[in-house]
Amino acid sequence: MADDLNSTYEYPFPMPSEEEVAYSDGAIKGRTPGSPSAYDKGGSTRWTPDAIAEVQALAQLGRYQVRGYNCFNQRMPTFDDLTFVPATMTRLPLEGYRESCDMTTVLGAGTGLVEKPLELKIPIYVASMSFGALSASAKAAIGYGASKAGTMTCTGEGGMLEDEREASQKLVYQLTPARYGVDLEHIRKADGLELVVGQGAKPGTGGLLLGMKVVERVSKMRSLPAGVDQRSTVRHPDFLGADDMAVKIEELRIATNYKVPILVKMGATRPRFDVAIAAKAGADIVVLDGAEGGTGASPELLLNHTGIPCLSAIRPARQALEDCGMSDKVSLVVSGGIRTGVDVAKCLALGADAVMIGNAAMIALGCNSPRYEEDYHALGTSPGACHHCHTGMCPVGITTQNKELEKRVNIAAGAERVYRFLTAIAMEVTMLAKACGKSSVHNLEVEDLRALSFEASAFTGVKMAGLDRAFTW
Amino acid sequence: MCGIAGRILNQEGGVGRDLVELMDAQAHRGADSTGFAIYTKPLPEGGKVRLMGFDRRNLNSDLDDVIKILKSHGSDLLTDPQIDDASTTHYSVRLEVREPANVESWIAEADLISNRIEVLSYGISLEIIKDVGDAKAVADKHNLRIMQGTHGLGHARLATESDVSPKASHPFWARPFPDVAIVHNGQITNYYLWRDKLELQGYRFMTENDSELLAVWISDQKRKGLSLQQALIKSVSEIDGVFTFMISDLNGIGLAKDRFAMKPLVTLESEGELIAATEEQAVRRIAPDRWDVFNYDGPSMTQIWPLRTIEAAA
Amino acid sequence: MSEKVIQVGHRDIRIINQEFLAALEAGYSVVVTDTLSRHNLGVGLPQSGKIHFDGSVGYYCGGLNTGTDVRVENNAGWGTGEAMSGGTITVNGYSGMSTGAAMLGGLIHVKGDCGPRCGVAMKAGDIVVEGNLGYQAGFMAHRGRIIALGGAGPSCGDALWEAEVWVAGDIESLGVDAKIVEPEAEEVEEINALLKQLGLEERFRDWRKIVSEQKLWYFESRDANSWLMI
Ligand code: SF4
Repeated sequence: MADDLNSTYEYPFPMPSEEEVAYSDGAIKGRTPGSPSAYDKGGSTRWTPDAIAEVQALAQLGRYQVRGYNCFNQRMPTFDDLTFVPATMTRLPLEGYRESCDMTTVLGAGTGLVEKPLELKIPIYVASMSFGALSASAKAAIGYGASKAGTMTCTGEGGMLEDEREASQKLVYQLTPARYGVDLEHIRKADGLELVVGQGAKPGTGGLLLGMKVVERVSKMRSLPAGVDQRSTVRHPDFLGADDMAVKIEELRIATNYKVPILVKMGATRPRFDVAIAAKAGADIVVLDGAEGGTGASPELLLNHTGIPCLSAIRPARQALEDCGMSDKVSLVVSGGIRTGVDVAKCLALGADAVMIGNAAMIALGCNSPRYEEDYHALGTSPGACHHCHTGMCPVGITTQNKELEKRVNIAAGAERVYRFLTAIAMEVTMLAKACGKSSVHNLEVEDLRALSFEASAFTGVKMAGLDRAFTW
Repeated sequence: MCGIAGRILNQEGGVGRDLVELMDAQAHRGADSTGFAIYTKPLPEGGKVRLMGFDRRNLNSDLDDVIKILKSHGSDLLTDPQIDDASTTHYSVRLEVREPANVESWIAEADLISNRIEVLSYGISLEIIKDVGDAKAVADKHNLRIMQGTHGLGHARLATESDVSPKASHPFWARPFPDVAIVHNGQITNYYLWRDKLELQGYRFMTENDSELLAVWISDQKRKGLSLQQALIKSVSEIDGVFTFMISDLNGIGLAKDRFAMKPLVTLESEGELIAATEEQAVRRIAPDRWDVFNYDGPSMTQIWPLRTIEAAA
Repeated sequence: MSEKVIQVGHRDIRIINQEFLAALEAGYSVVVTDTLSRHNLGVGLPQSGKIHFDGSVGYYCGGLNTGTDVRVENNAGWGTGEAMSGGTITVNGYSGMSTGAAMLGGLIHVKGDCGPRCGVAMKAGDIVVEGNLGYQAGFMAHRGRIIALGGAGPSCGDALWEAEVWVAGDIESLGVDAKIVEPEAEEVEEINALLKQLGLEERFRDWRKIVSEQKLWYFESRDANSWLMI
């Protein structure tokens, strides 16, 4: 062999046996040489254990996998890549523990068409989660908690639940493509009407509620046979584009006698265009839901691989409104993976007028809490890692229609926790705003932020920390 | 994101006024920009060029360049240029010219300065007029109501991009095919696939607008030997997405609709006349008392409305 | 009942609708002239009364109606009677796309043909069409009946839930997950009774009743055990 060293050197001791060379380092007969532990881990960058499991699952099922919760794509950036640069010498801070900072948030007043814009005490409200995806008790608890915090909730797809209408002082009523239970009576009971053209978790696809959650009360509200997999339409039945949507919005205004604002909710995909179009079609409020947004059930591929992150969607959305001269007229609400007041403050600084929280409110209520551990285990998961909302077997009773499980939601205590959480994160927002010298949280601006990664800077146009200019190509 | 309209008269008449009415009735479907393709009396010789310049400060030098290029292709002005005197930065120009030796190579060169001044249309009869604003505004600015002709198209646009550019509005000329124009309502989802293929064949696109693609796509199919009818039918299976478009030439107007039955078109036809619009209420502007309209709202529909005046002449 | 004439023309649509409501609530029977196919005429009408549109109407006429009897002399645009929960809407001419979209009750009677996706997502009520149904009639309709004395276009009964599409004439093609079943005698009786009520001639009709094949109903949960553990 050409590359063989062909050494003629001889050891001053006897040549070891082949057996000794091969196994005296602890290697095991009958398997490939090398350190056993490293070998066991595998190392394919493409065929990770997860990728292999995915193929196996698809091969078994003959269809996509379904799950709930939210995006597991590791490449999604987080708001942690941004940091605030509070007032120092160039600006003067406000007293964080003493001076007050205005949080009042008015949505839908800009067009001047609406008699009762949505006036919230805080720039945060609870995102649309349907009765069906959530239990009635969970909806009620969230409603009461939000009411106490002076903010609102949203019905989600499944129609207007009496429990929630009663609990929520302000309630946005969704008109999704499936229009479950939408009639004049309910439309007139709403404080805002939301036309849903998409959601962050699965833009381009309609709602999904698996058979085990379509129990009698749910099936009645949705006019469905009990127990079917409800896979809703994605296109609205009676308008197809922004041009027809303008006519639809006029209809809703007439039906409510111009009382309440019209919201248009969409998943974040091409916000620079989509937001401009919604604004031009006549929306009072545009709700932009990032890819990290949660859902009760979805084909997993859509959760992980569709939409753009909230972080990257806010500035183009604001820009779109500015480009068409609607920045002061149309309110912008964003959502998707918002965890704390810090995230909220960053959204406001990037250009949002208000922020919706979904998963965070559920967690405040008790999702993934360390109780009923055996039930988590039965689902093959544990507290802190649960994402099994689609099964309807939520161990803490939030995303279930099982009466027994639902009892695990303590409405009063849950409401109070939701309220305290909302209070806490609102307080966090003001703390940051005051450190940045603002007497209103709505005065947070892009200049208050710096990016910690090129990526975050490129996504948002926020100046790089230290460099004081945005990353550009 | 828009409203469209088509009109055929059975003899030369006020087609400009009718199209303005049709588009004014649909202004709520998009008032960012409005455009018209009008087939006016054909010139005995030569063709009409409609242009849009983007910086009025350079009007004279840019127009000189246009004329220079025309001359180098064996063409020349037959009359003085007509230029709008609005206060906008952009401006529009109408020329009557001797026919270039080869329209395709002339427009190829003319397009080299399209970032300064762009050819909107060329033909012996076709004139494309487009501008920002609603039908009334565009009509007033360009004296559309008095334009006489046999047929034409109209379009109101809700811009899907944030900034409204006057040049991105419809109708589009199927460059380099003289006298062919298109209006379209809908979105094409395999736009870039087709655009890449057509660009490889040497076609050029002035905008990222899918309607422009449709115009060239149909004309290219015709150049390859298909009749208009065949090209329209083929478009329904080859073009993906939702659309209703009307394509016009000297002989009349053709229509094709996607296979999903999404975008509407309401028509009223009689005695060689056609009124077509996205919404019935626009048709009412011209025929308030007739209600025997036809709805083109099924899947995969095509239609051709020939020009009676042409038939009579033939 | 005394009559009140309200002219539409190019007046503000909001004010026109307010005039409708005021007149209906005052007990007038309303006649609407110069309708010009305008959109959003007669939205959110009250639980009783009569309104007659003497001409064509645009989109969403009778939308969210709760009980008024609406009559349209000529054609209607998209989404006629969308989300209505009561009352009747009679369209003398052609009724455009999505007639009766997501309706929850009441009756729509179309004397001409119907556009695509008639009865889309409807939850209850009846749609009677004397002419033909367009493309995808009954798309994802939950409950209620769509009854056509004429034929049906392509993809009839597409992705139905429990709604039924009844067709007396030819059906161009069936939609996804749809099948034709033989109707029961009592069901036919019921349909005939309804037609009679609408003044339609009683005679033998070769009914095809289209219902869901239910193959799409249990797509995910049929193998619940296998995905429970992901
Ligand atoms: S605890 Fe309940 S709500 Fe939370 S992820 Fe698990 S199933 Fe969903």
